Amino acid sequence: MSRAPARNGAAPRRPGDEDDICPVCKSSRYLNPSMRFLVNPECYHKMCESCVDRIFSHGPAPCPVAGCARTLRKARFRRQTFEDLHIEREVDIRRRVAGVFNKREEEFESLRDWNNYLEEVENLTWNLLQGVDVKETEKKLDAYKRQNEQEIKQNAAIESQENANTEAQFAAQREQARLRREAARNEELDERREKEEGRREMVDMMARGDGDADTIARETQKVVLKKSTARRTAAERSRQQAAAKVDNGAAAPLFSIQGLKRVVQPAPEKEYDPFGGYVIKHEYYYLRDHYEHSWLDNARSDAQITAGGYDVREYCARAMMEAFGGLGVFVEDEIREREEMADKGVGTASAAAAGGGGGEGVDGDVL
Amino acid sequence: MTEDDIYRTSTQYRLWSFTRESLASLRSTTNASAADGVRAAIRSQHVGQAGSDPAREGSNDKPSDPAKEVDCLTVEEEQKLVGFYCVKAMQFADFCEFPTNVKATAVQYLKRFYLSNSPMTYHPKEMMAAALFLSTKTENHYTSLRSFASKLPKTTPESVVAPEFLLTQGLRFTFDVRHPHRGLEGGIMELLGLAQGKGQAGPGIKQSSEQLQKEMVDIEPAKESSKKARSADEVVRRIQVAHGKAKEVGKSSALLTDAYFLYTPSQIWLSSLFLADEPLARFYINTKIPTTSTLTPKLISTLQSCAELLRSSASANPGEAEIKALTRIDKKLFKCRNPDKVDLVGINKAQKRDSKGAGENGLDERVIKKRKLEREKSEKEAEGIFGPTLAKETN
Amino acid sequence: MAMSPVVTYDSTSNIKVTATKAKSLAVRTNSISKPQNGSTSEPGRGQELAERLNDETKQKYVKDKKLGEGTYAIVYLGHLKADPSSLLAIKKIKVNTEYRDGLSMDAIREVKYLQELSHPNIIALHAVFSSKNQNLNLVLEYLPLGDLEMLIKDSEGIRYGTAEVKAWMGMLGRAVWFCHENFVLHRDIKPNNLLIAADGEVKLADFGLARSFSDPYRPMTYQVITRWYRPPELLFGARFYSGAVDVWSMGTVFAELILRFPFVAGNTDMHQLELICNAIGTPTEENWPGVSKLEGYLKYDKAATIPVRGKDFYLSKFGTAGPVGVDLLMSMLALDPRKRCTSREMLEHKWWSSEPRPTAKEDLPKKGGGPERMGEDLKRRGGEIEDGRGDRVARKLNFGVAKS
Repeated sequence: MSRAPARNGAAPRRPGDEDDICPVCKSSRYLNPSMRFLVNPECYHKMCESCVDRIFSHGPAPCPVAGCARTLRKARFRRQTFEDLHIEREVDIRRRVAGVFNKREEEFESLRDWNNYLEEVENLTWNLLQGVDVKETEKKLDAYKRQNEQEIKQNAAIESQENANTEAQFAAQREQARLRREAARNEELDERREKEEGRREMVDMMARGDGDADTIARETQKVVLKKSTARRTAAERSRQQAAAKVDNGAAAPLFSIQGLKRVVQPAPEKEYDPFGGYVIKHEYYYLRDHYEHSWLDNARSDAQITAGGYDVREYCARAMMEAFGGLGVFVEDEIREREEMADKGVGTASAAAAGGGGGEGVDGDVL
Repeated sequence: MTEDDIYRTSTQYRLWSFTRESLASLRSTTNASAADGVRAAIRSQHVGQAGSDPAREGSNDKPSDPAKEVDCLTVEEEQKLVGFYCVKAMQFADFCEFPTNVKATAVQYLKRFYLSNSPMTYHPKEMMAAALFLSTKTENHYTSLRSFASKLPKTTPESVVAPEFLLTQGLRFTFDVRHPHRGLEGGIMELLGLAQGKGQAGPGIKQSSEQLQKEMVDIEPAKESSKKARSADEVVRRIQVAHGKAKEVGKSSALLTDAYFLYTPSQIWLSSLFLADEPLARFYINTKIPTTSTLTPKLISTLQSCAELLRSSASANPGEAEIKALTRIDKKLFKCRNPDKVDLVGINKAQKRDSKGAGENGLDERVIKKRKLEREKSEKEAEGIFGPTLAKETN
Repeated sequence: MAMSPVVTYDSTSNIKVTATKAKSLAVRTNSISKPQNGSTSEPGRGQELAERLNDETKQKYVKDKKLGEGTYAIVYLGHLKADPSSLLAIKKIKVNTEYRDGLSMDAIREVKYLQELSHPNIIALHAVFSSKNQNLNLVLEYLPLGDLEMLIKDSEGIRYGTAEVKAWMGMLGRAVWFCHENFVLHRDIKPNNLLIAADGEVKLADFGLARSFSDPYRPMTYQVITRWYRPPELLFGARFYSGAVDVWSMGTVFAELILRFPFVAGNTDMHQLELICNAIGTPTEENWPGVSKLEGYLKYDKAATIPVRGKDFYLSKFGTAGPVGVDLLMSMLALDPRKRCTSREMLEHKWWSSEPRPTAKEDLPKKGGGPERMGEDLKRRGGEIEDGRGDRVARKLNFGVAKS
């Protein structure tokens, strides 16, 4: 690796550098100090900006490098990030593949599955890199892309969110560090100031001759110490709070939109059910909105009753529920079965199992 | 969850539903254990009274053992007695003009209480007042204790409240009782709707409202003598008549029999409708459950047995012969009551007093203090034997 | 043989509730069966079957330390004797020797309704027994993470957003809906009564003021619900009301979750009405037909009448809930109880299916964030992300991230 970083910017170069000459127009940096090189990911041939302009401004044209006739477009030219063009090409290919095959470790059941997946992806990438079975591989890529559009998008979103989070975290930490430094500096200044004051006071007191020098000295020392410790503990506490705040802040800023979907492997996640799985389905009746019953008429019309919100429909719903709740429950049979199970002592085991299994919902009490 | 599932979560289903056999055996166990308790209590009382008569000591099975002579109540007698006081409770509730649910709940409290307790231990007369008062509380019909007690003859507020805790314990702390009355109202509302062509059959039934209305007019008459209804209005009247009859059953027989333990409230009200107007009830059931379902025959047979039970209920107005029999039982009870449990007010007071003075582990505070003082005293003495403590000696 | 009210778990009950986890720690079977013919019972004092059942229940539980004490009850931590790792709260209701009317209504209501209601968002009552001295003991599930009020008030330590509010409101909504489906009014909904379980689930507790829906023409008391959460019809002394009173309370809790302080906090009933007029609008015959017939209704001066606030007002105050959320909030805080949504309609609102998705209960904020949390945070070195085996393996180059 050359020691000088390959800079494709306008910075001046050392004389004698190989990169000086554009392979197409053969102009050198010496003649053109602000010459910049661009590269096209189609064939990874590089040329200077002016060549790009000259050849491709009017539309797509074949690559001027001898032996390469690939059609290039101006828009696809970009600056190279790596000195070695092979690496550039490899990175591009890997980025493309990773953009499609972006599954995450959490989505796999076992480590082996994750590794198998990685190996497959690597094989694919290798094929593309080496130029082996390119057509087939590209087909596979496309097929996968089309099939898993949704998941790809989701995973991409998760990644970008993570990046944003880490960015925010770093920013917060930097902020923290800065604040801490400031606080420390201020503390130092305060301490120094107080010491000065303390010393001045001591001298004053001694000058006034209020008492014996020793005691005065000791007193003022104590006061100074007390003040400094008090300040230090206060500073500690505020720092702790700030840390907690920033920590939380970085993770969950107030009222940000969170709730990114996490894909539960392998099934798609269930929609949120506001009823939590409870569905009340009437077996014996349809609840109507209005039941004719002269006794109810007043309750429907009297303002004192209705203005408070009393709703006769609630009563009707209850009457209907009580009318049929238990119609199909045959006590004699069900209770007998229950008792038999208790007798066998199966009751305990099944109850404990049912209690732990969570299959049935009678969560009442026991006496 | 269906309506049936919701009912199965109730304490009435989970704790207070039985088969006929288990109900009977439960009662006999309660009776036997109470009888034993009575005998034991009487025996120990008698031993205490006999003092230190050496002739009696050490031999429990002498023929003069009074406990053996105690004639305890039988299960049937207990049942009759409890039933009588249920009737009394209903009469008193009517006198105080309590709503139906208060009355019904109180009666059920009594019945439930006496499944695991015996009248020999706790007399139904006291429990009845407590049950009724508790019922006014749990059914949201606030009544002040004072005014309640004042309505009962020869009853103090303390005596009403004294058995309350026992009652709640006997009820296993379940206060909710599900009644058939509201369900009956619901059923009648639907029937009225059907008769007027606005009703809807249950899920699974294909007929339309108009069809149903027409069919209703065609239902077999309730009794052979009456004729079929000829118009929607007459159907409505028929329903109202049935309503009245069924309501009466619900307010009396349903409460006095074991119906609540053996059937569900919806079965009870439907059975009472069965009694009032069988063809109407059958028609109604067919609008709810397809005739092809296996549920129907089972349901019908259950309803029929429940209806039988209701029909054979003791009357809410006991006649002379009944009252005579009950008086005899009462007299018998007087002799076989558990002497330890007669004064409930006293027991209540004692328990509450204990709660004030007792520490966590039941020891009297005075006792605790005394022990502490004793300990300190003995420590002091120990010091004396070995001389003063050496702690403060300096080298 | 004698089978007392055996509480065997009935596996034939085909309750199709798939989402419930039966949290009952107490073993359900109580095979008290087969008491011998009484002759082996304690000599002398025939212990009735009921007493014996009570004792059996009492023996199953062990009281540990005291958790707290109030005027009404003492709460202990406890566990099942058979399972020392289980966590229970045993609430001992003090016998009030001054209350001469026997058992207090509060105790009765709590026991009555908790016995019947069983739902993951309602605190579970496992058993009830009496100790000597006539004390009622309720064995409840243990909810160690405090209540929602603590989370709302701790603005320094606890941060939460719309997704969390949605999750909590969903849980509250389900609890109230279940009560209403069983025709029970809770009548004391407030953040203080919403306890948090170890797994993050919010549970409705304190049924001391609950009662079942009333039949027509049977009046109820209007002195229920803590003032700040009380709906206007109760402040106007209505004696006939419906589940809408609970919905109003939920609406105020919703508002409080967003604002992080109580939305309408009056010092007296009068003041409360004033604040409601300001915050929501003045009740008039136009927006609430029939309100003037309520006993406690005060005729408002035409000039002082504040019109019902519109959506923009709510959006400005509660914008973070989003327009759909504000729509739901407004329907829960409608002045006329008949115009308020029912608890079922609340759960059917489209807010639940709109973005953001409610946070899973495991991810909801928990109390703390103080020293313990701090310790955890400080444990990690700066820049280090806690990984597992990844630390020891060469890091995978992530080509997807780098952008040219």
